[in-house]
This record gives sequence, C-alpha cells and structure tokens, in this order.
Amino acid sequence: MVRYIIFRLLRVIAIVLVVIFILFVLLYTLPGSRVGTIPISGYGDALDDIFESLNVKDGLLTKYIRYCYNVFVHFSFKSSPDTRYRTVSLIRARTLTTVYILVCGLALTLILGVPIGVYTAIRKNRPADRLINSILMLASSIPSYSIALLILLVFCAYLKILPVIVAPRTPVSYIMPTLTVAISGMSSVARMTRAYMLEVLEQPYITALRAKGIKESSVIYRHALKNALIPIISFLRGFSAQLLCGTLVVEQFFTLPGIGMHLLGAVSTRNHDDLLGGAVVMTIILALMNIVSDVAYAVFNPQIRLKAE
Amino acid sequence: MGGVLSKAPGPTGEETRRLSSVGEPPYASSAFFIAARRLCKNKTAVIGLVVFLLICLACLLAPYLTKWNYYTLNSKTMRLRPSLEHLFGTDSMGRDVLTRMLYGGRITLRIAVLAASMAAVAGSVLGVISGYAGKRADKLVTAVLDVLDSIPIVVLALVSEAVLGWGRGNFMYAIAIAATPKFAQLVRGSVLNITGSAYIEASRALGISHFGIIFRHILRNVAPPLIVRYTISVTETMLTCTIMGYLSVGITPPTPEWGAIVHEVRGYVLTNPIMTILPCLVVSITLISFSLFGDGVRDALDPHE
Repeated sequence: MVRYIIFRLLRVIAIVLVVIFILFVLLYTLPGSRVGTIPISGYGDALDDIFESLNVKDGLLTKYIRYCYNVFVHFSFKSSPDTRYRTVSLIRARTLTTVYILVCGLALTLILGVPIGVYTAIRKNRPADRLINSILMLASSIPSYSIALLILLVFCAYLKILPVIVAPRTPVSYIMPTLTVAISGMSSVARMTRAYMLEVLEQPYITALRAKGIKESSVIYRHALKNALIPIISFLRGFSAQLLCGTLVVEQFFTLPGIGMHLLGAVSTRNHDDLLGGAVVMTIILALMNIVSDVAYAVFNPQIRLKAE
Repeated sequence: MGGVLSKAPGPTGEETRRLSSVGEPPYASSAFFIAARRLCKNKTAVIGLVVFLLICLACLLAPYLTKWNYYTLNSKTMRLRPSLEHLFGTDSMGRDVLTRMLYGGRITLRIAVLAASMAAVAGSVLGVISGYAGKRADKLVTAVLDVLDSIPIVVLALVSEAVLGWGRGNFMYAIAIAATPKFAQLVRGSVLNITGSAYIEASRALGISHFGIIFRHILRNVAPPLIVRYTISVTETMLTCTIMGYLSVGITPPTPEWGAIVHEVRGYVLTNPIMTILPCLVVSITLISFSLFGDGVRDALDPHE
C-alpha cells in the first residue's frame, strides 16, 4: 500500500509541475504582460541594474524553476515586482477560506449523500425510493447558483434565521456556502451510492450472510457498504473537480474572500501574476484532493492494502 | 424518424434482436431502429426531448417572439415587475429579461452543443489512437489526458480567454477540453475490448486497412456508448457554460448568456424573488429536460438496465 501511495503521489506531483509549467509559459509569453512591454535595453545602466535584480532577463526555464521553488518552499507567488507582497499575503488567507468551504462541503456531502443512497438502495422500487430518486435526479440538474439562491431565500427571507450580510471568515458566514456545496453535490453522491449498493446487495455473499442469520443492519452497514464504498471513493476523484467549480460559484454568490474571488478579481484587473497565482493554487488544491482520494482508495480497498504484506 | 420507421414493414424489434443474436454483428441501421423504437416508448424521455426542442425553437425564433431587443438601455423601464408587457420583468438597465433569456439561450445552447461535439470528436480520435496504435501511443495519450484532467475547469477557461482573447466566447474551447478525457477514456476502453475479438483479427487477415477496420468495425461498435456519453456531456457543458457566465468568465456585457443573466438579476432575490427565480427556472428546466432525454437514450441503447 505504501508503494502504491508513493507511486500515486509522485505521479500527481509530476502532473502538477507540468500543469504549472503550461500555465506559466502560456501566461508569461502572452503579449501584454507588463514586463514584456518595456524594452529591456537602451535605458542606461541604472535600469539595467534594476532589471538584473528582478531577474527579468533570465530564460523562461530559469524563471519557471525559481517560481516553483518560491511556490513550494515559501508558498509565495512573487514573479513580478509590484505585486510581490500583495500576492503572497492575499493568497494565503484566501486559500484557507476556500479550503474550509471545500472540506466542510465535502464532509456534509458525504454525511448526507451516503445514508440517503443506502436508504434508497434498501427500499428499491418502493414509493420512498422513487420519490427520493426523482428529487435527486432533478436536483442534480439544477445549477449550484440556483441552489444558492434558494437557500438564501429560505434562510434569510422566509425563516429569517440567518443574516444576509455577515463578516467574512466568521463561522456563521460558512453555513450557507457549505450547505449549497453539500446540496448540489449530494444528489450525485447519493445516486452513485444507490447504484453501487444495489450492485453489491445482489452478490451471493450477501445472500449467504442473510442465510447465516446475521442482523440486517450489520449486513448492510458492515458488509455491503464497506464494499460499495470502494467505487464511491474512486467516483469522488472525478467529483472533486466539480466540487471545486461549485465552491467558486458559492464564493462569488456569498462574496466570500476565497481563492476563486482572487482569481476572478485578477481577471477584471488583467493581473497576470494574480491570475497565475490563483490558477496554481487551485491546481494544487485539486491535486491534493486527488491524493486524498487515492490514499482513501488504497486504505479501503483490500486488493491494494494487502498487496504489500 | 421512429414514427416513420415503425410503420414500415419489416422484422419487429423482437425478431431483429433474435436475428442479430444469431452470429453476425448487428447492423447499425437495425440497432438504430430498435433503439429509436425503445426511446419513443419512454414517455419521460419524449417529454424531455419535446420540452428541450421547444426551448431551442423559442431561442431560434427570438426576433419574431419579442418586440424588444437585448441591448438597448431604457431608463423609463428600469426594474419593472413581471407583467404582460414584460413577462420576466426588466433588469436594472431597463432591458426585458425574457428577451435576454431568449437571445442568451442561443449563446448558451450553441456553446454547449459545439463544446460537446468538439470533445466527442477529439476524445474519439485520442481514444482510438490510444486503444489501437500500441502501447507507446497509449501511454502518451493517457499522460496528456491526466494532465488535462488535473487542471480546474475555471483555470482552463481563464487561461484560454487570456491566450485567445477576452470576451469572445473562447472559453468554449476550455469546456471542450475539459470534457474530452471522459470521451477518450470511454472510447479507449471499448476499442481495447473490441480489438481482441476474433472478427477484427479476421478482417486484418483479409487485408482490410487500419482505417477500414477503425471506421467500419470499431467506430460502429463504440457508437452506442458514445451517443450516451454525448447526451450526458451536453448537459454537463451546458451547466459549465452557465456557471462560466455566472462567474463572468468570457462573457462581457451586454452579451446575454443564461448564467450571466442570473448573475445580473440575483440582486432582486430578497426584494422581488420571482424575478430571480424565473430565469433560474428556465435554466433548470432546460437542463432537466435534456438529462431526462439523455437517461432515455441510455436506457434505449443499453438493454441490460
């Protein structure tokens, strides 16, 4: 298992480096980047010295390596002179905000989605299953901004239990975003769980367990769900990209100062450093989520877990 | 098409299925015939398709359906509630929201369908290459797909906008790129399955060229799962497109796009909720109707379910 995890880790790190390289090259060879518009020679020695100290003249590969070093060692995204301080400090705080929503959202998605999936699988083709399943089907086609609107409407306009405007980075400010992320993600997790549970419940070993007289709850939760979780975890890997996209919408909707706001703010000011910084952070977040799901997959899947022994 | 076909004399679905299971690979036309009949019997799928086509038609006929246009500002009609004159009300610049939705649908639906089509073509090509052209090509293509898969879609969209030019709908390519890996993985799997079978070996022994084998046998076999994937993909690209519009990535005012319109009217949610709910409802109904149709297509093409 350790070998498997190390192998996946190395692969993800290699992919992240390649992605950063692509983003770096694309954004820094663009016409319109500020440093590129200044003719480097012909400004006298003083300016040459400044350029020298800012490493403007270095080759692309040197710049890329220095950039990666700064990102991974110092978590700083300085690449051009005037934004070096701003970019670092902003990105740190904003990454945390996004990570909070992602982690809470994912946890709530699983807490809601998996039991609902199991419940509908047990009640296959009964009215309850049909009703929940069609609701889930509809919910999975509703865009997350509509869900955010509905939640805002319910909690702030009708129930009046949550304030519309809250100070950023307070616990209350995370309630509605987390709910939005969870509800828009829950339907696909629940449907997946249902499908895999049904598959597992048809296997002969479940019949054998029941014939042995083992309690139904134990059959379902200890034996069936354990096996159904493996494909669900591998489904989560593809799901993390969708979750990240949903988080951006939620940040924009509830004006949370997260990495998505940073990224979109960089677009409106055409700030390529912030754009690259935000893009790199988002790529790293996605890669980390993939690593976590890989590790979880290895832990839950005995075929991989027991290989080393 | 199914209606015309079902009246034509010929083997019934049952007979065709029996015939096709005798030995020969099923012919595309008869497989299509069976699937189309099955699809027509599925009421939810038909309703989904009809609703979706009606919405498409309304968007196509937008200039004939409304007397307003989507860009002229009017200070006298700002923030009107929904009425007979303005069914969806007007936005903060006095523009009719329904008109903007109709014109916006043209953009959203076009981007969704084009992006899914591009992804289907690119994914099929990559999938056939990696499944058919040997181990090295397979490894290369898989690595490329892994890299594409690990770039967040928003980043991809922003970068493609930055590289190709802002606000000209270039994020369509990003949506297509993001949808490509799923097609490629699907096609690759099917190709690997088929290339091992005896009749491909026989065709090769007969001296049929690689292109002949790919187009006559492999693509024909890959077609059903590919069609299912395509319908799912259109829903996904539509969703992504409206999300991009909502995040104002690649859509600049006054261009109407469904997500962008929802973004424009979201401020009314507490004061006049119906104005925000109506555009959201249109987007959701379109997505739901098409995914109902997609589910029907899947059930029609996949007899195991």
